Amino acid sequence: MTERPGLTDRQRAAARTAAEVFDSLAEPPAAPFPRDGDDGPRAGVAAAVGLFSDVVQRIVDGYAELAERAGTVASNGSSGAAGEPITLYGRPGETAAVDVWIHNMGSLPISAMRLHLSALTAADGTEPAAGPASFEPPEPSVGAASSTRAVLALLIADDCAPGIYHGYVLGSGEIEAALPLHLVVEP
Amino acid sequence: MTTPAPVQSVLARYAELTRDAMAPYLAAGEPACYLYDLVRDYPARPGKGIRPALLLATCQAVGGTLRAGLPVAVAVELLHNAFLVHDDIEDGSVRRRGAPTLHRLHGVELAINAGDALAALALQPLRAEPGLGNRVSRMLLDELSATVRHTTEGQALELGWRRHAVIGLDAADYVRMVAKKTCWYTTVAPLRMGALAGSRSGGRSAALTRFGLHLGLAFQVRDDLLDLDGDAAADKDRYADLREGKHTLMLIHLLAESAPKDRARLVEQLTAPRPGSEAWMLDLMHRHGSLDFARDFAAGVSAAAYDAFDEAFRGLPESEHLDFLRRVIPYMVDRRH
Repeated sequence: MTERPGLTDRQRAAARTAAEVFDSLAEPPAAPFPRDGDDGPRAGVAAAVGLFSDVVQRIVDGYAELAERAGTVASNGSSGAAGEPITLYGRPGETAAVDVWIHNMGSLPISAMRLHLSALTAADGTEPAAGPASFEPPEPSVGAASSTRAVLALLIADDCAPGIYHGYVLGSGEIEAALPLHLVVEP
Repeated sequence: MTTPAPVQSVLARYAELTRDAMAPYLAAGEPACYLYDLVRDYPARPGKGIRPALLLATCQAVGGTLRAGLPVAVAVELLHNAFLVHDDIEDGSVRRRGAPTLHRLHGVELAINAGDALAALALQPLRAEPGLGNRVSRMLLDELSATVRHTTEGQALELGWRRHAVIGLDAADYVRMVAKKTCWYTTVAPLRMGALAGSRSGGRSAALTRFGLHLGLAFQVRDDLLDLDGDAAADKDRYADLREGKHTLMLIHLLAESAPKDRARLVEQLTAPRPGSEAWMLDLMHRHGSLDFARDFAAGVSAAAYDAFDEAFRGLPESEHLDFLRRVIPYMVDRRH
């Protein structure tokens, strides 16, 4: 522990007392409550089976996690990296459209992914006079290790204030994804 | 450069977000007047919001999203409310967050039952949120389970000391008890679970535990001091700790420092609390410097918390979330409520 300047002896002693106690509190086990160790052979077998099933479960989860991460929603031309926003441009009275790509890098097909556009807001909290949004196809499917796209179309009303509005394209179904979206309404 | 929002307003914002996200888990049901109305009561009373704020800020500081952290914050907050209901009964408290305690309003039996329901509801957000994934969900459930264990162990220590009017304790005993009773579910678990939800890994857990222990200890010592402060205790039951014979740091210091005659009277007070002794105990604490001792203790611990903070968040880019977490350290010892 670094001795901080400006502390009184009593303050330093307090920090030392706390540090000593915290040192004695070893990292706790993840198990909820302690158990009596004398559980007999039946418990030993059960524990071994439990451990094995946990290993299997973790392997399955690991694949599921990979599939979760592999299935990403991306805008046209982007690398597909999560966090890169889709940008939708348009003027009041126009219908803005953009391609939304779904890249499935997992080994399982994804069927009927439902796409939605979240509510949009500008940095000052105003909402654009725009909508409804549509996706074509509305529920795209994508095979294993392949990509597909859906066209997002959004009608910008005549009285929509120019500015940048923020929201998300959300995908739900066998996998879930959220990709930031900017709607740029030009004057 | 933008001035960062005051800590209190960030706490309030996260608390509100968490309350909103909690609503679906507190849906109406029957019997409403005997259970679900009670279950919704404490969560609807605005608290300080320290737990959800620590959790959500940590989640975002390690690269996660608010959306990923919210169900976890809801779980921790529901568990906190469950603890509060039972805590108030165990302590015989009469007020909570500016209103009568749940057992004063509805009776001990119904309040215990509502507390049980809240504890069970706390598991739901971690099981029901598909975005977390099975592996992370299970790790978070393990964290919640370990939190219940630590907290009940700490509460058992405190209740046991009171039951047997234990004296001869020192500051290290107090730290050990607070680490379990308060730190784990107030600061350690929110930090660890926030990091887990945000990074989907428990890589920082040990360092976050250490930071959380420092932060939680500073929080509890300040809480003990605020119980004796007339203005700050307005929404609480002032002098409740003195009346209940709680082993605060000041009381432990006083027991060690007081003359044999006063000490004997203190022990008598701990064994069979008599109303009206609060002023005498407070005066004795002032005379023996017990309040100054506690203030110095909090200052020393919070200074050490900065080192623990640096270790816990090493290598992360600067962000408003990290800045907020750093600013929480002085807030813990300076807060007025």
